[in-house]
Amino acid sequence: MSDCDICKQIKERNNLLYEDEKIAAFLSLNPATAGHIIIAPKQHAPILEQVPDFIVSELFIKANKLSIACFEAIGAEGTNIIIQNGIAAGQSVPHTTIHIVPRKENDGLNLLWKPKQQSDEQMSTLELMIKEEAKKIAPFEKEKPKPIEIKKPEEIKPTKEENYMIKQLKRIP
Amino acid sequence: MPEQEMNIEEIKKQCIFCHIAAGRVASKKVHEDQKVSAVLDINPANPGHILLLPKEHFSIMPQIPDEDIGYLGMTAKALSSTLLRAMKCHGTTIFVANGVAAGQRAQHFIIHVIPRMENDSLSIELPERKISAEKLTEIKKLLLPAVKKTLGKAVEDLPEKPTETAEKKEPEHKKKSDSADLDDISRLLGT
Repeated sequence: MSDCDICKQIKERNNLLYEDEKIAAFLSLNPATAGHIIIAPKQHAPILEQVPDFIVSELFIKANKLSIACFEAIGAEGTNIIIQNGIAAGQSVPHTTIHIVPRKENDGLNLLWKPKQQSDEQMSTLELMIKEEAKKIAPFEKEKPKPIEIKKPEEIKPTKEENYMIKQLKRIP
Repeated sequence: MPEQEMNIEEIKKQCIFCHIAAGRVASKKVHEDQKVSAVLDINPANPGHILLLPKEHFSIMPQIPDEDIGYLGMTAKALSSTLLRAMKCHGTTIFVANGVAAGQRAQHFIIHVIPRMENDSLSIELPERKISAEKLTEIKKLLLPAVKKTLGKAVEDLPEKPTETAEKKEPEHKKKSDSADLDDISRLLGT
């Protein structure tokens, strides 16, 4: 999408760290901490549910490697990997992204939540509701192999031997 | 080293999440397959908060093989969709904490999948801080060699980048002073 900030940043290669055919990673221009990396699928998709499974898999594998790079290169003591899926979750751009936030002790960032305790009865109700819906989880979507290009059949060129045979046939006794 | 191996075995025995994932400890399990278990968090950030656990014991994400990370990611997506439908929530937060500094408390790797509603007063917000262009370039310079190492390639558009032969010499990011030891980070959780 042309007016999407993430698509634009990828296209302009603005502070890009990594890119391949399907995925790009770049430094956040408004970082939560120094070294905050954003990784995104190149194909525009507002929410996670619209990103194909095999791309989600790639995103997580690469987010992990970028997190390792933060440990190695900028002395991170921890990392947070966060997906804000939907406006209610704090998503600010309409393009699925994974945030890799390098952490240090006392870096002033507090991402911990206060538990909202539920009664055992409430928990059991939730369990049933979610379990029922989770039964619909289907096998993960695999990437379709690229269509094979069918080559035009080459013209059969007569081999030397054939030539010889034909010559033999053409021979006038 | 046998002593270290024993420690890992010991950790596995003591890890409550290994027992939960294996079903040896009672939990509100919402999804399970050969590789993963998903249970309701008893201290939920919001009602319906799911903990996605690999059955194999890992303390932090960097220890997990690619295939397993990919699988966990796809499962997290599936559980997010499950929550959107089952809870009629407006969004989900998928959250991982690697290391005590990131707020990790359990000694078992966990992906949190949390249902979100508008104005649910949950403070998992990423502040947007200002950063100078110079600082960004500085961080990029530090990160690029490490990205190249972990991902096999990185974007090369820094004019002052050294030549290819110089890069092969494993740049200074290996210096002990500014590199954290992953084993240390995961060990902190085991104690």
